[in-house]
Amino acid sequence: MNFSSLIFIFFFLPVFLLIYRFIPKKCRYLVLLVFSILFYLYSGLYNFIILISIGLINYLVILLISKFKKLNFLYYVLILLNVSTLLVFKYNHSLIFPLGISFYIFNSLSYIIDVKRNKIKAEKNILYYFTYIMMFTHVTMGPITRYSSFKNDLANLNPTKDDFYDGFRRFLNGLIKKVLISDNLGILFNTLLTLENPTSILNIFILLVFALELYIDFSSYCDMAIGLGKMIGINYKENFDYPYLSKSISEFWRRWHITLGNFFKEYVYIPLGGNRVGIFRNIINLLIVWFLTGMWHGNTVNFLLWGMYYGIIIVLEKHVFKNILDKLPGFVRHIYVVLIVLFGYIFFIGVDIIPFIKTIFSKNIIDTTTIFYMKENILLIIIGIILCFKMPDKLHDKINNNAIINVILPVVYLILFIITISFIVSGSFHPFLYNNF
Amino acid sequence: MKRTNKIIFIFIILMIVLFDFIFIFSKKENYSYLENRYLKKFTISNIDDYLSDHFPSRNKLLSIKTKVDLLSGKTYINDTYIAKDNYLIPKFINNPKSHYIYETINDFSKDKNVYVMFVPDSILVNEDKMYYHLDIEEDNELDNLYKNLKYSTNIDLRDVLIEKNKEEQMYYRTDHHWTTFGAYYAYVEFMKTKNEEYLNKEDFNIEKVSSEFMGTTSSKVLGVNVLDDIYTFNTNNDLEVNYVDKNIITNTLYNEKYLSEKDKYAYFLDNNHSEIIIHNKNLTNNKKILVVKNSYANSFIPFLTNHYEYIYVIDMRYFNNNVSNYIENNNIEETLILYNMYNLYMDMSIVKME
Repeated sequence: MNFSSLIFIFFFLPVFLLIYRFIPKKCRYLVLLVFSILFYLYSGLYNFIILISIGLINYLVILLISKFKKLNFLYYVLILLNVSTLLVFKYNHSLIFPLGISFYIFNSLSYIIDVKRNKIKAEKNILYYFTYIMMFTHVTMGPITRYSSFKNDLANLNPTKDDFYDGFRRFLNGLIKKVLISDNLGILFNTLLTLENPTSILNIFILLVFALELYIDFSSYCDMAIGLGKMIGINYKENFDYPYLSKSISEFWRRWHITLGNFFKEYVYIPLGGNRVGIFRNIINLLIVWFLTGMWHGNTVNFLLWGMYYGIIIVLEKHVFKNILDKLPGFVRHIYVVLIVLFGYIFFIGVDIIPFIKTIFSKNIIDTTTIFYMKENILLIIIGIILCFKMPDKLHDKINNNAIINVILPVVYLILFIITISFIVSGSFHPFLYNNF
Repeated sequence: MKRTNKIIFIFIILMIVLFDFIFIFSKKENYSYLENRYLKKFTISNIDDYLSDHFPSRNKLLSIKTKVDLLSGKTYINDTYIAKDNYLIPKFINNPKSHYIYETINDFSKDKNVYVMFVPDSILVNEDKMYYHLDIEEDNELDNLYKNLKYSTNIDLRDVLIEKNKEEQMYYRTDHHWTTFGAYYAYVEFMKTKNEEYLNKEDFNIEKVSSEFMGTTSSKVLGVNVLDDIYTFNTNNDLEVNYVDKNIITNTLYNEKYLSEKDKYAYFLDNNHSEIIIHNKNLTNNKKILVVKNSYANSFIPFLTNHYEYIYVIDMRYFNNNVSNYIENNNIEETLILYNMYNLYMDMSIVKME
């Protein structure tokens, strides 16, 4: 199930909220578990069985180790098992890739390692454990969440009314952005990729459209997840902090998919020695992290190249350019980040890299088709770009206390909601017209 | 602000509950006339498709989507260009297998008297009305087809339709077909090619039979409410129209019943039939012609009835016999192949012809 599907918005969510509100606080986690099972089961029995099996093995083995200290080596076996499960599904194309596995394996790994490091105790309550692993707000696309904070929330599921309404509005913001902006950017992106005889401007436009789509899609999904969490009483960490406004690539990655970055920092980079080692060792550590980041994102060579591309740039920023970069004026640094990130997407979007780059630098600069698609989607692109800035949220905070705005706002949301629904419904609009010619 | 959030929640939740109620208690349609397709039936694996196919006020919502698209400056929606003067123009789609078309016709026409009329689509003739002059492939495709047709007499309608389109409407605004006026000028061109006399417009009793036509293209961009007129060019002939496949014989080229339905173009020659034989009892010239066609010919054939005692009409999508034998058995001297480009390329049934 998908947060922006009709079944979720019109059936799952209202029924869930109704039951959740009126059940005693102590039992609420059970409602979460039951609805999470329904939510995930909807994606297929196959996915469900894999998730349950991985969850069960991890739960039982961890419990076993915590009883018998001699079995400590099993931690490593378990970590290896989880990582190799992920690798098998990622690289064996004959297997169906289970929904959300990249995320719930990472949650599982953080749980295993945290228990091993004595940061948390092994969870005895299997229902608690499975609520964490299967929680519908984060099972498919994160945020990657540590068990310690989740468990705290689970023990006291009692959102304030203000949090509830605030969370709902955040969910709504995410839903509207996802359906009206990022889904349409996605359609545009796919259309642009199929155009014959690409031009230089077209390829740059493709990178821009993809940059906007990827950010708005993922961040609006997180808005929905965080908003839902707030309504329930679960606090998620923010996953994005206006990454495209960064002034260096290192900063960009501190502000983009923050929970993933934290995961690699906490469980890979720091254990390898982090910054407290010699330059050479530090470079190796950074490259390992970026190699893994590339791998996590996809299963082709392009993704590995993409990871290494960032690894190298971050090494250079850290050890070579640092002083130069710091002295440059802010806007130059912004341009630098945008260019590096856009160029990086060439590896990400699954095109043939060399021809794509050649076209960018070719003399075939622009044609009517390129102009057509740019003009057709001008409003979409402008809104997309605006959403990368802090301005909408600042405006949001400013107008919040304006009495007139507060009267108009619910009506605006209602209209936007209906438009959003009209866009979702027309996803199934297949005019089959020419059976009559 | 806190109160605002609460009101937003109440508004949206009420909306959701309202839609849910209507959805649960409303009668579910099986068929969408707008989309010409059956709507999804409920199964556990397609709940989402089922929901959106049967969503309350679905058509209203679809037209809201179109209106938002138009407001955002879009002129290209669902493979349809929104052009000046309220024209909705379907995109042309190329077909890499188009060489089969001229190969088939060359084989067929080696030993026969064959005329070929590939009618350009609205997108080519109405190019001046489009907001963007995209590279139009159809022009090249037509050139290529005609260049490769070796044994037939090929009638190119591009110049005449573009010229006449400046004064009169050659295509419907809301449909992919040409108007009866477009068909008339094609008829004139056909007769000129054969060096024969043709009827002037004044010779016809031109009648407007509908002013509420919303064609197939308008179904693609719901919410753009444009209406077309349908005309017929009438002459007084005593006709016998035999729909051979359905075993129905009438005395008219038109079927009134379709004027009250959505697809009013089906008024011409009773929509599509695999085989029709039209006999003009006022003529005794014993002239016979075979028309191999798609629906574009339906509004064109009425003009031919004034000159041919017998017109044989076959539609290769449904006609499965050997066409050469058919010609021989019926002693037909002339063949006209009439297709519009888009559907010629889309359906390719013409390659069945031998």
